[in-house]
Amino acid sequence: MTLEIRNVTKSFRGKHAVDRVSLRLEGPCICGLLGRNGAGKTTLMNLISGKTIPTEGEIFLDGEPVRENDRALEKIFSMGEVNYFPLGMKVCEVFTNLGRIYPNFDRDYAEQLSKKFELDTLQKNDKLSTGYATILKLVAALSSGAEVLLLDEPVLGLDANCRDLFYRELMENYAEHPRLILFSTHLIEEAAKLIERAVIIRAGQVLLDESIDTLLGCAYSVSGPAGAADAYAEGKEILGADSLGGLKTVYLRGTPEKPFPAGLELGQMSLQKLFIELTNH
Amino acid sequence: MNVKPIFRYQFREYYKVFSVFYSVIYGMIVLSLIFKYTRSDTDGSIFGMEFSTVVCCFIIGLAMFKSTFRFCTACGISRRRLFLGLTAALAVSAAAVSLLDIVNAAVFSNFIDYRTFYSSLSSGGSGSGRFFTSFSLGPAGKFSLHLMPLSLLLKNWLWCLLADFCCAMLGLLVGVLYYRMSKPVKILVSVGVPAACFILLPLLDANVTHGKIFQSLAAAGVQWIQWGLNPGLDLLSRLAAAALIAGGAWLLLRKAEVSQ
Repeated sequence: MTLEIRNVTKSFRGKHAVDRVSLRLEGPCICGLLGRNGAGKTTLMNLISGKTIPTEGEIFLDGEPVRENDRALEKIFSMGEVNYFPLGMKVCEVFTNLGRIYPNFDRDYAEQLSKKFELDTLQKNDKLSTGYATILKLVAALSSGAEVLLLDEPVLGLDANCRDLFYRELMENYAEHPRLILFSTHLIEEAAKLIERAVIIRAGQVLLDESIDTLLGCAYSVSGPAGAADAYAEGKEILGADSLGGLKTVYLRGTPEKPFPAGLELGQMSLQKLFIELTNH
Repeated sequence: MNVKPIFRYQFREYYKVFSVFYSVIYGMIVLSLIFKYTRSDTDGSIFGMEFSTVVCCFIIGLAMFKSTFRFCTACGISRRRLFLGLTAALAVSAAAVSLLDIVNAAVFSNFIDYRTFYSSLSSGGSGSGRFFTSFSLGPAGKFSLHLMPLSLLLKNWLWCLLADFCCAMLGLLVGVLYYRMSKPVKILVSVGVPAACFILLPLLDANVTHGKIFQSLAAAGVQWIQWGLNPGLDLLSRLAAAALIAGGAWLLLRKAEVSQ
């Protein structure tokens, strides 16, 4: 399946939350949507899912416009930070209603996941703690059977055990039902183990849209004495630098020279470090 | 376009609300019956209960919009499908409760002087009472099922149904309007509209137009009541009102967004 965002802009009171964004995401793929607070990740996901309406531009799923198109919308499940389930609705009732809306909703799988996460299905959704409210949304998302999953901060409020369980369930589910998953999170190091592609968004615009291998393959770090590191970095695209005493680590874009100078240590940049350096300016 | 999920969900929510509402109604009727049979100096009577149904329909249209809109839109339901589902649920609910009101009148009129909204207008046989006698529900305004022709019962049910449906759609329109308004505009409308209707308009009419505004409004009301004498026109005017209100609600809903 293909999700295409064509020149989409969303303005709120004259400010562009999303500014002329064009993206083409081919599934099956787990794609990370990364950005700082206020970058426009949630707005972009809300535009894709139809919660908000673009000021300009259009979004297509498999060639069909998404807007006001039930056939396209029922292929998308969006899980956001905000809880949209009605007050007083029990967890089991949430599953029942979702089963009526999403034709491929797997009720048995939802019950199994609820047991694994120790989610009480007789509890009202608004009475759940932050962590369990997130778990409910995760269970709903994984059980939806939708071809496109939009997961906005899916691990918000989860303890380490639950996060680990979620990642394992996500990968198992993805292996059984390959689909397009768009995953936004601030826990980049954890997400880096899952995502195949990264879209970095800054100030409402797409900064980067690359596969993880390509992204990490075109950035590296050089550590050593400050003078030597600076000399090596001269003339190259510097992403950032860290100093500690007389030692310096410089983060560079591109591929390392061959042969690599002695006295300096070559390292791979982590996705989180790359993200920080790219979005710091 | 499958509106069944929305219809089922909404209907269940309305059912819960009407269950509580009719529990209160039946409680009041039981109290009236106790009052009637324990006091020798009075017969007791009940009237206009279906007017409260109209108000309840307005409230469910108004109050249930926001949570339903957020839930359905978050679950990938288009605004068009949502609107059709809501309208269908409100229409079926209006039909059910208006029928229940007729059944209540038929049952409880055997025990107490139970007057419907129609029949309470026809009591006394003079003035507006005589005006409504031709389609009141029985002699001297009393609801008497065995005296009612089926056509009159059907007409009464349709009248109540459309009144309930119109008010439910009006509630939905107001609900969507308030949802779309920003906080300052909400305050302006909540204070401004009553002030305009109850203070500014009477002042304007008294000092500038010398009563012409309220005379025109009264004439329009009388005309609408006269249309009511003709069952066909009555039905059409209410259908037109419902369509107009529904159109307004749709125009507002189609651009509504889920707020964070």
